[in-house]
Amino acid sequence: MAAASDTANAEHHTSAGVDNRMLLMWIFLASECLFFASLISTYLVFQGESLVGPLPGEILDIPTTSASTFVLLMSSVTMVLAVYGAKHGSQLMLKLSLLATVLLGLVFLGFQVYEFKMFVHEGLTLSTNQFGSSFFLLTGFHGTHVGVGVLYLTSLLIGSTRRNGLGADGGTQIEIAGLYWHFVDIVWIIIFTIIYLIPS
Amino acid sequence: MASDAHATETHAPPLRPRQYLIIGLILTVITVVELWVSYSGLGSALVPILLILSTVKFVIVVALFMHLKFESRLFTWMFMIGLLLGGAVLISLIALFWNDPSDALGGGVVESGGHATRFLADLARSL
Repeated sequence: MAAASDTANAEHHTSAGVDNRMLLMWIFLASECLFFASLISTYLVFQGESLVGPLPGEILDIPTTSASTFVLLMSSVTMVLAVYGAKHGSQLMLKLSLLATVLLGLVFLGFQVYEFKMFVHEGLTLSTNQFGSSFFLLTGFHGTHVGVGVLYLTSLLIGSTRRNGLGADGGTQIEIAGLYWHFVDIVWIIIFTIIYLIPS
Repeated sequence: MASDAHATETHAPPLRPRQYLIIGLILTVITVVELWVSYSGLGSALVPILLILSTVKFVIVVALFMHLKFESRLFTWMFMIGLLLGGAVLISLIALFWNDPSDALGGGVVESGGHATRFLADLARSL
């Protein structure tokens, strides 16, 4: 059994001595940098170009978004604790931290849905002006990434409740999911600063 | 079992839960400082300060939560390539399409070559 497990683990290592799944996730995240860079630059290029309102200064709710930023930051803390639990064989810590991360991710999405609804109510849609187009595109794609992350983590949480958990390399699976989740967090750190904190 | 022990030995998170909580607290404090700075009306210093603070948060999460500080250099290089290419995309698109309000005749029409040249010249001057 141990020999079979060793073989299974060895199959996931590249000639560089790193896990190929980890390497794949890092390459994927590198490609995501280009994706979000293009969306952020689109927002910056359109900044100040809107001919009709509502404009960012009139509509952005910084205190509410600060609260959602705090929620996402805390979800990164719970995610890293889930990785710690998985790597140290603490199933309780893993499951509780993973559950907390999923719940915090859902709360963040709730904040975003609330913000979008408020903006639409105040007359800002995807087609109102350049600010609306670039804002909804950028934050919408980020929210989609959070949603995918929530589904990803939920699947791992369900998997961890099985009798044999996530298997011998469950720690690596959680760590890879953690990389994705933390990336979503760092993208929000940039978006929060550029859209909300820096005056247009 | 042997493989589990090996995995724990080589890939276990290098920090303790208490340290992760302290890092989370530091990130929260930086966010509060960012908020304070954004409302403080610091004038021209506002944007650089906010960019520095968000860069600090970015680096903390990547280095300590994503464990890039403790992982293989290969991962660092992969991510750095993505970041550098992303930065290049950002600078190129802004340089190409930035609508300079000082262009009186432009009226929203962008002459990409001229803007790119001017933007890069300004950037070089500021460096």
